[in-house]
Amino acid sequence: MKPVPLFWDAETESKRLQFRQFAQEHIAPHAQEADRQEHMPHDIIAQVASQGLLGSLVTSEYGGRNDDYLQFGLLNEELGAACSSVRTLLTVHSMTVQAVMQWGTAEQKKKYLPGLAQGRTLGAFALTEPQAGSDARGIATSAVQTEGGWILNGVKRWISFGQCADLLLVMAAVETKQSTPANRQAIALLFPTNTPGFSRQPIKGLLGTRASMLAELHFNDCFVPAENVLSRPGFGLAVCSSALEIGRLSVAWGGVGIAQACLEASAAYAAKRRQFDRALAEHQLIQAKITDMMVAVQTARLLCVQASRARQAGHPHSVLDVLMAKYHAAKMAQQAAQQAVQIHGANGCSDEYPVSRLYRDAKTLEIIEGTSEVLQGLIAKQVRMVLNN
Amino acid sequence: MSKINEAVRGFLAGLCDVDSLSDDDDIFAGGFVNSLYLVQMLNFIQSEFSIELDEDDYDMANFRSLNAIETFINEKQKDQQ
Ligand SMILES: Cc1cc2nc3c(=O)[nH]c(=O)nc-3n(C[C@H](O)[C@H](O)[C@H](O)COP(=O)(O)OP(=O)(O)OC[C@H]3O[C@@H](n4cnc5c(N)ncnc54)[C@H](O)[C@@H]3O)c2cc1C
Repeated sequence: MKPVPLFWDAETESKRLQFRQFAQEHIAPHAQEADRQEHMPHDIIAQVASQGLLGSLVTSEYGGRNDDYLQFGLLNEELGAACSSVRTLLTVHSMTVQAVMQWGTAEQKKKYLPGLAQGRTLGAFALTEPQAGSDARGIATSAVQTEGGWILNGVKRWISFGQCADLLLVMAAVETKQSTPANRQAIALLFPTNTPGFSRQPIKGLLGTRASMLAELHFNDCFVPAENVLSRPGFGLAVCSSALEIGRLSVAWGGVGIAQACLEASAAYAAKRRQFDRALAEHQLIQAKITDMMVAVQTARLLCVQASRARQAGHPHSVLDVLMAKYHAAKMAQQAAQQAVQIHGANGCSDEYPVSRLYRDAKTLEIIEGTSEVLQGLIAKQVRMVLNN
Repeated sequence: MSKINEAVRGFLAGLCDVDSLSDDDDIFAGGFVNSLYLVQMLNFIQSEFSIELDEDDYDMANFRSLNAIETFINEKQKDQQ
């Protein structure tokens, strides 16, 4: 079942079909096993990289695909429908890419973007710490200025693809003799993971996106050269929030992908499975669930299209559009997955069927890149601005 | 009040109480605006005043107060003409 392509042109639709074909042929068949093993096989990452998909947002001068945000969104939808862990790879990698594209110096772009575009360098985003989650101002990882650079100390937790990333976008707090918790400045650093003093511990036993190679990262007197600072000290939170915006856009579209996969699986299952002498699809309560799912997927997709277009146009309200798309799509994906499990009955509770994985993956969307509660707070604060401007 | 000052105040009106914000107040340190909205303000400045920011512009000194923003926009517009 294909979404009705009313909202984009023929070129974009042709890209979407390519993304879909790749995701269904090369990613989806491995998703259940990757989930069971809690491991993303190197081959899958290599296949995604060989298609140039990790360079979706990189401009052509650095060897990227130069996709617009709508095409990037559709790529996230199709990867998300096939395997949320692979979509997560694209999410955190693209956050690093975006940060370098928006805030990087000419030298940083030249040094990092070609490798990121081809997937020779895998990027990840390291903000969360054991004691600092929703409130990013509480980060304790410290950056102390030294000759020629910075010394980094601290621990980051729950970092997707932290087990295998080559380059981290790390957020730290600048520590000086004068700094206090109230006036500390944030700094964003590009951190190669072959830096001495760095180590990582895999995190296992996750509820969802189990193959997304989460890790706890330890920085022990790591030296980061001055040329690896993104933007300037003090602009760290701005770098961070612009990376998070790409993360949210990616996750929002990924949520649409999960819900679309739930819809397709449910419609197919309901057509085949018979109870009370009829296919499930002929029972009105099941029809109602599938109808609600279909309307919900399309509604969320429209919000995502709006967010992508606003971002492409550089509209100041794109921040709000992205927040709304992510908030809504995460919630919608969770509800759609819940209904999909219900329609599958006991089979929905088994890992023989993908809906149980989709259900677990959908839940994580309400936590990553800003929890739903934090997003509700941010959206509420912007209502006044929208009404005023 | 200059056009720039008025436009930026109009933008900030959605985020804080602009009536109690003086032209020299530190918008971010003063707690008027959460620094997470800095990106949004940069987007607004770029689209509203048709200027393009580059890496050298990312200095908090350029965006700290209404007066600083106005000076920065005026200089940037002169450079890009
Ligand atoms: C699968 C997965 C992948 C992740 N990947 C990454 C990654 O790649 N990089 C990275 O940096 N981090 C990553 N994270 C961490 C994630 O970003 C954080 O878990 C998230 O920001 C929430 O922080 P927390 O878990 O500390 O929860 P807390 O901040 O402790 O929140 C706990 C609960 O309190 C609520 N809450 C908190 N503050 C408020 C408030 N002001 N008002 C109302 N309710 C509130 C929250 O919504 C939540 O329900 C990942 C997490 C998961 C689960």
